Amino acid sequence: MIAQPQLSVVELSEKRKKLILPFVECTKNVFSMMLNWETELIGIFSTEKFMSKYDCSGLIGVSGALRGTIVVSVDQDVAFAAAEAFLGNRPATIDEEVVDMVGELTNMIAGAGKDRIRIPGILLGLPTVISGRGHSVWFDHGAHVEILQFSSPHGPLTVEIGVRGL
Amino acid sequence: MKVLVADDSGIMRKIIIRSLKAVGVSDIVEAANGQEAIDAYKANPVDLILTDWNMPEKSGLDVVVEIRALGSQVPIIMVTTEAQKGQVIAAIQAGVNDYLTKPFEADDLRAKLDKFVTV
Repeated sequence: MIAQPQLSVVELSEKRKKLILPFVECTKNVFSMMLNWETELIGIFSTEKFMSKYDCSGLIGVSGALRGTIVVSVDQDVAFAAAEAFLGNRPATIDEEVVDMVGELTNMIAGAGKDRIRIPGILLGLPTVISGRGHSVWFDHGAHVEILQFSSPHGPLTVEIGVRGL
Repeated sequence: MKVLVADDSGIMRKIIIRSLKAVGVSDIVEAANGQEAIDAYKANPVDLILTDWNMPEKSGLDVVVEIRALGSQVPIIMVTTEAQKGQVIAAIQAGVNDYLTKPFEADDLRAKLDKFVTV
């Protein structure tokens, strides 16, 4: 059975809106301001219904008032196009500069999202990046998880938030 | 004019350096963490510093505090994702001259540089 994405944020509970809307806004802003790319939210999932399988993921630990992880997963073409936009040359493989770029995008999305949530006392770690075609990221079983799927001019990406304490 | 750029992201350093070169700065020192930034400043006093906040070893705030403790009035621009009012106030109180929040557009960075770059 193919999971059907939830598209309407209007139907979301206030608790889910509080987490989702800031990250939708800041993801669009990061790609727009840093890359001049338009991104569009095309789906909202929980891990039971959708698990992204992309090529490169940036992860940032969350602690303090909320505890968990924020993940930005991108398709290889997205990673290469973004690196080309920043560096001027399109990489042939996921190399150190591509990893750095994914980490920095994750850093900006997580940082901006944290500020927009307006819950005091949230701390973010430094980004870690993993790469490998078709990898998945599994969250803590008890975490509240939202997976936001976006389209971009160069392919799909997800912003995944899995936290306790909301 | 000599400028120090401190950020643990090589990509971010490249973005900032690109803007610096666009305004005529070619003498640029890079640091990948706060301790490197402090060591670089002590070895090569510069005319402007752009620093990230969250870095390994020492933070950008540590960089500001330690450089100001040397008695230096070098202009410092904090370039960071930290945007909450308390963070900005802490940075200003520590001695930063200006603040740029990530993400930013190229024009935003350029406007900050125009205030401090004299080439």
